[in-house]
Amino acid sequence: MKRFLTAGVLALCFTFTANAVESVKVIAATCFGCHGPEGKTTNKKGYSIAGKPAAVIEKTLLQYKEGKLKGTVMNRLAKGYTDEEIKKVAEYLSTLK
Amino acid sequence: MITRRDLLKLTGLVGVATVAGVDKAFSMSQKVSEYEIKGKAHVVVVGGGFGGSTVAKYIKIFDKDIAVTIIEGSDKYYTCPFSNTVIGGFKKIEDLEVDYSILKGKYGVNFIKGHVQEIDTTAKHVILSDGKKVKYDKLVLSPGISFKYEAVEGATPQMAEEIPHAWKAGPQTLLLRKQLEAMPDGGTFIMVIPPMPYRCPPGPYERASLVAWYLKNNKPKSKIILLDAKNNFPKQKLFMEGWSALYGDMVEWVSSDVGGKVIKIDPKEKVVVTSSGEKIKGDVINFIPHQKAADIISSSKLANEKGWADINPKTFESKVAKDVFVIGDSSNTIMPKSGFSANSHGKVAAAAIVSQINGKEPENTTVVNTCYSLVSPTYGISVAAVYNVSEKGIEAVKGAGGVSPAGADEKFREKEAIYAQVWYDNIVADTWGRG
Repeated sequence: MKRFLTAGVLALCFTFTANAVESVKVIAATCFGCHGPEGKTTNKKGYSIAGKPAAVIEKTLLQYKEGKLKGTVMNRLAKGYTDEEIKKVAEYLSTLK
Repeated sequence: MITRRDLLKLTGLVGVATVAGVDKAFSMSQKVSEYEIKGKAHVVVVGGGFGGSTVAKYIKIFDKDIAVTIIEGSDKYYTCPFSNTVIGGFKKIEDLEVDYSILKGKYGVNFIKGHVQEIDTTAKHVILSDGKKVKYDKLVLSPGISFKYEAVEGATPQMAEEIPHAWKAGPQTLLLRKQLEAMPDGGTFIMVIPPMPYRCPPGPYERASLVAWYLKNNKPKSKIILLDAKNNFPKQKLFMEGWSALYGDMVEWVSSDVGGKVIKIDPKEKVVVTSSGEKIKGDVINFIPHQKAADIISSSKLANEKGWADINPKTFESKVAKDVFVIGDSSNTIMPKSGFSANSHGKVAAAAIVSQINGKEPENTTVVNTCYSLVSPTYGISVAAVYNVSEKGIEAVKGAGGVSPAGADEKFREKEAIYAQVWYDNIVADTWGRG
């Protein structure tokens, strides 16, 4: 009985968090502040980040983070994210059309 | 297939359409009427600035079945970011103008033009100044700032017609511009700068820069005096580097410890008195008052002793009122009070509200503040920070963010000035929607 209850609670917890608005959507949305809604810049001098291959976005962000890419502000910002966050946000941005 | 009825249901307009007709009858008989807006839940957003418009848009993005209504006093909004470019004379006020047509049309956000007079957190409705009630399941307050004129002797809200603050964009921006245009060459421009916290910490120094740019090109014998209640300011080294490179000794910054703090003003004589007893007369005075959260925060008993709203950092829900969220400048966080911060707050709050309405626990997340300042139209500098958001608090990630490098070359500064415009265009499109 106890085992059954534990399993039930675990299952509940899983559904509980699985359907919240995922953190990655908020993280990606904060990129849109500079890069434009849904990652597409409205000013042609800006840089769109939507729909590029995940591996390219991830590599670029990691290079900014490690200081291998200079940039103006992305080198400062990329340092604020874990490698895992970078991977997730890269995957999410790559799905945007 | 979506029928017209379904569409109306989705956008929550059934109630508004029905009630709008009824309203007239009610108001004629002097009875209080009520907006009833249908949806899975109804989120009311007070204030249509960076925070309010962002939270409204992102709630609809995360869950379109939730009805969202913005209550705002005006059909148009003028952004504070970039308002210094109008004061400097190289942008028009129209360049700062945004409206709610995309939020309404594309995202299905309801819009009520009006002022919130009172919040009843027990009955869960707000009462507008015309007596109408609007019910909510969740309430988001993003009302911005109000001024504490009483902090400086002789200062009154009425004096803003002569001594502009220009710290809320619109007519005040134009008034300050007009006064600068009328100022004689060789005149003195005084800016009175408040202590922290206030909206847009680097704003006064960007303004000083762009006023200097205008005066240098048009009235080069003029002088700019910045009387500051602080002993240091954001991007200080970078601003000072820029001022000396571009404007020589035109800009004089007086910190609090050497008598920069203004304790008294005579608006008629245009004289300010500093803590060291010095009286200084200005041809144009830009008096930026001490600040607190907008009045609705204190009148609703949501303010702490310093006048700002304490919030649960993970959700931006008020620490004193359930289902009431406070975002943007009114909220008390470690993030600078900027449009970008308010936009970030809006996204965190939207995710939290949608998760809660759907019976889920909001996730921890990470947000950003990025702010550009123009030292001239072609000379930009920036500051950025990354914040982890959890129950523990909003904490800046160590080793990340910071300001533009000192001593960078002209090309770098020019690039950041271009990115400032890109930033502006994109944050505005992200907040109020792209057509």
